[in-house]
Amino acid sequence: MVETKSTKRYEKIKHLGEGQFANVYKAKDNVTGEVVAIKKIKLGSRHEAKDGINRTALREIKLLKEIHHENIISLRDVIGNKSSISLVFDFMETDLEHLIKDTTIILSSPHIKNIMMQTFLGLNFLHANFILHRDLKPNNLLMNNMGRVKITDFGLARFFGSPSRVYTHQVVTRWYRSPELLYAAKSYGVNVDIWAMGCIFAELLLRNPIFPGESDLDQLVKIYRFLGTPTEDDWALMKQLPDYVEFTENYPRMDFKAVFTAAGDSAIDLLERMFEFDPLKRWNTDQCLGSMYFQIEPYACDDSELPLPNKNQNASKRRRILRDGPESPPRRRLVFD
Amino acid sequence: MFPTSTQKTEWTFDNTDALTAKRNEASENYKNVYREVINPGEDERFLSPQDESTMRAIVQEAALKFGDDFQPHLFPSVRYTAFCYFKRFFLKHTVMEYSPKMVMMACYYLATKIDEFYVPIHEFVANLKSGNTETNTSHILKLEPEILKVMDYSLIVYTPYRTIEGIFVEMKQRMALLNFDIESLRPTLIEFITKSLLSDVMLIFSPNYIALAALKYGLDAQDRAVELVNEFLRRMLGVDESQMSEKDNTLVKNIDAQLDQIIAMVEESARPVDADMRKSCMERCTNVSILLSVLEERRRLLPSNKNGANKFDSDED
Amino acid sequence: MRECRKCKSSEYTNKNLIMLINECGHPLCKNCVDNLFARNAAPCEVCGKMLKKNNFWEQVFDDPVIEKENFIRKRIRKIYNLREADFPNLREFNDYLERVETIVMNLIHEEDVDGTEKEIKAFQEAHGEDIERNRKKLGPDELWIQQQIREESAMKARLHDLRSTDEFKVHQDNQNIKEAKEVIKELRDSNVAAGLILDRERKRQIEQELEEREEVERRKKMKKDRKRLDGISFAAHRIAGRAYIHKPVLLELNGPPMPTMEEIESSGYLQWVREPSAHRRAGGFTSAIACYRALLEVRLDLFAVQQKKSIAIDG
Repeated sequence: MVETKSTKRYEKIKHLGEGQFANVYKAKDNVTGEVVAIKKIKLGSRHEAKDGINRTALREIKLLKEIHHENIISLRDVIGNKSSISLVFDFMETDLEHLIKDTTIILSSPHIKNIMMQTFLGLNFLHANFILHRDLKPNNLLMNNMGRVKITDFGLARFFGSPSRVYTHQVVTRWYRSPELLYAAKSYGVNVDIWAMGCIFAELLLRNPIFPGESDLDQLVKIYRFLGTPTEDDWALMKQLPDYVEFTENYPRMDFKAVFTAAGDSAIDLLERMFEFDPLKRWNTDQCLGSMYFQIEPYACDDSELPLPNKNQNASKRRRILRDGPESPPRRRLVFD
Repeated sequence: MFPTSTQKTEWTFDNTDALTAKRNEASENYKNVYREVINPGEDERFLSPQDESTMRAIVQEAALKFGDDFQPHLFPSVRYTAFCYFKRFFLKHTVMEYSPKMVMMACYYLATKIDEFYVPIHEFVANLKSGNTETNTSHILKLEPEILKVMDYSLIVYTPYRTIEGIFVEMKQRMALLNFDIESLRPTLIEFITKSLLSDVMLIFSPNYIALAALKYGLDAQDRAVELVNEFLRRMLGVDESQMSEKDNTLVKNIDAQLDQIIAMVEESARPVDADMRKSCMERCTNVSILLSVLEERRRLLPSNKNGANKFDSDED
Repeated sequence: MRECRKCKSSEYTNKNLIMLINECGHPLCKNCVDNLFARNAAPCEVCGKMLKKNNFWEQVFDDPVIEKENFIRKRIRKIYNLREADFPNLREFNDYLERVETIVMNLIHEEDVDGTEKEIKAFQEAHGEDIERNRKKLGPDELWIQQQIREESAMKARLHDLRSTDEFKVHQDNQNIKEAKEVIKELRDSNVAAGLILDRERKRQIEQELEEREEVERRKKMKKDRKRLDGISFAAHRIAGRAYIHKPVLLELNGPPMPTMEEIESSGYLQWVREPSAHRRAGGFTSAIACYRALLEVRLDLFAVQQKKSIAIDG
């Protein structure tokens, strides 16, 4: 990585937001001319700093330095000085959460298929390298103006597959947390990421989170109200989990087709496989990518056809001109008031 | 995985000559800082490459024990990672500039963070026998970002431990007719890996070669046929000894030669530092730190130098 | 609506009209070709160029200029088959491509045909080796096209097999019923000893079973061959507007081959690995994963026998 004085190479454009331990800025890379996002991690403040450099920051750096894939955010540079460490990423205009919440945007089947495919490809790569993400949610799936989707926020990610290690169960944002995590599983695998993907898929279809639990217990209730309370046939080993509680109420399973009215049979089938209660039966990324959903019509659209939230309308117009040529008429966008 | 890792692409070198060259360069760069203010004859008091090597060996010997005694009990991979960071750091800097002891402590601390072995700093520092809590803590916290920067933030270190597990599984699966219990080899293999920490093999060879060298060493130590390593390789390639192609033969021979080199390097470095060497080295170290404080003072008084050595970029807004 | 300029028959008058065309770009219907080229070689009625009857091909495109262009391009491509890798920089490659275009245009519009032909010949002689080499080796585009074709035909074959076995099964059932009825009729009506009839039937049945078994073996072998070809790995290609055929991520081993997860689970590897406790399995942890990872690490880069130069043992 190029070692140049941080003040000279990157010029701040604006402040984008603040997280638990970092500030994010939009900046310009004066060497390449590209726009970047800089995540500046504060050192030397708050009680955590007594422990030195933040572990979450280190997790991001250590993994992103080794992983390179077009659907995973790339860490372009790391700049360190006395009071902070700054991580330089590609700039991504928006994220899936904004896309889902923007009611002026229509997400059609080809759009959803493309988004799922890109995310799955990134996740597939991670899992093949024995890395779990452990914090998948729409907020952590970024998208740039060219429609490229990238997984970000590796603060909770880690290697898996070591028999001697136990992991924490306090991972993944609650709405996207799988039942085994809610029951405090200390060992798990790719299954936790797949469940989160299922929740994301459902949210793309419903335009609302599918299991918005208000507490860990409520999370399970919401899951079971939809998928039905799992029986021992569904999930033989569930009673072995540390925090297992038996639900006295046997909720019946809802009819997926009735809930996901816009989804085809192959989408429903894929969703069901991702929502298998038994983590050992739940599909992995290879199986999901190999499913019929990605092989039949409507096929995934081109990246450049993915919609952007309203404030990026200009970028979308530029994209269309790049793709179709300057004379083409603008696509009609349905706007509901 | 290792082949695509920064460990391989940025921190693996061809041979010991390459390592020596880098270390000499680091020393020269440091000495050059004082070129302006040094008087003739004084530069002989700088540490020689041999001195520096001895210093590192002394610290690494002590650090092995530190790892063994650490509470709570460390994963072996944490110690391996710490040693890797230490070696990388002193490819770019000299022991005259940074106290190798403090750097090793900071490397250990960093390794616990990277390897997902949670230890809060006060618990960590409680394991340090010398110095007081405050100074130890502040040294470690100060060195942490510096070590990161020297390594260019390459933090993942692949260790031979999982490879050893893999080798054992493969041997049990494919070489069922062995007349001894493969598990009996385990302690010697692990011992070899521990010994290897004192050498430079991790900067030159990939973890699976080190693991195979451990296997060869272990077989030899237990009076078993070292030929079994080649037999193991043949089984992995899926070829019978009689059916081996020219290419396969060369491969096995070449791997075998490498394993011998690894074993030789490890045995060489495992020899404890001679007591006299140790004493004279410590004396020279004391000598050189006196010299350095004098030189620093002279530099500070130079009209052109207001700030002194700047290790870091200045703070941004 | 195509029309033959010679006999004026069109697709309207003759539903089975087949239009043929040759390298000069003047189309004729099949009947006229048969008549005019009875002696194989004859001049084209429009331009006088000498043509051979065998060289006619069926006209696909309505515009004969396109057919002529395709013909010329195919011919030129065999000679001008250099690739980007054959050139020192992109600029020269592009210049080469432009030159090829000019040559093609010249030939199509019959401008400076002699000069162009001379240039082609000179190029062929000058780059004989490169042309030969490129002819033998398929470029990345061709390989990819081949792969797509193979996949398509494999998929078609699979569907066909599926369909044919279903139909076949129904047909077989009907056949069996019919045959049984006939045998019964024969037993009832004929004078031949029942033992003989039944013997004959039994022999026939045995022969039939043998045949079926051979058929199954043959099918299996075909499938295996096809599978081997499909196994040639290209990274999964994601294209908009098409079915996505997934291929698992292939880590470059640079070492001996890895057993698959299924193979690990079935061939006894797991007996050497500690079985995880029930609560670990409940969370989704399997010993197969840990085993896979360990086996992988033994193999990665095993073949990279680093040619280390003089490992001098320094302190």
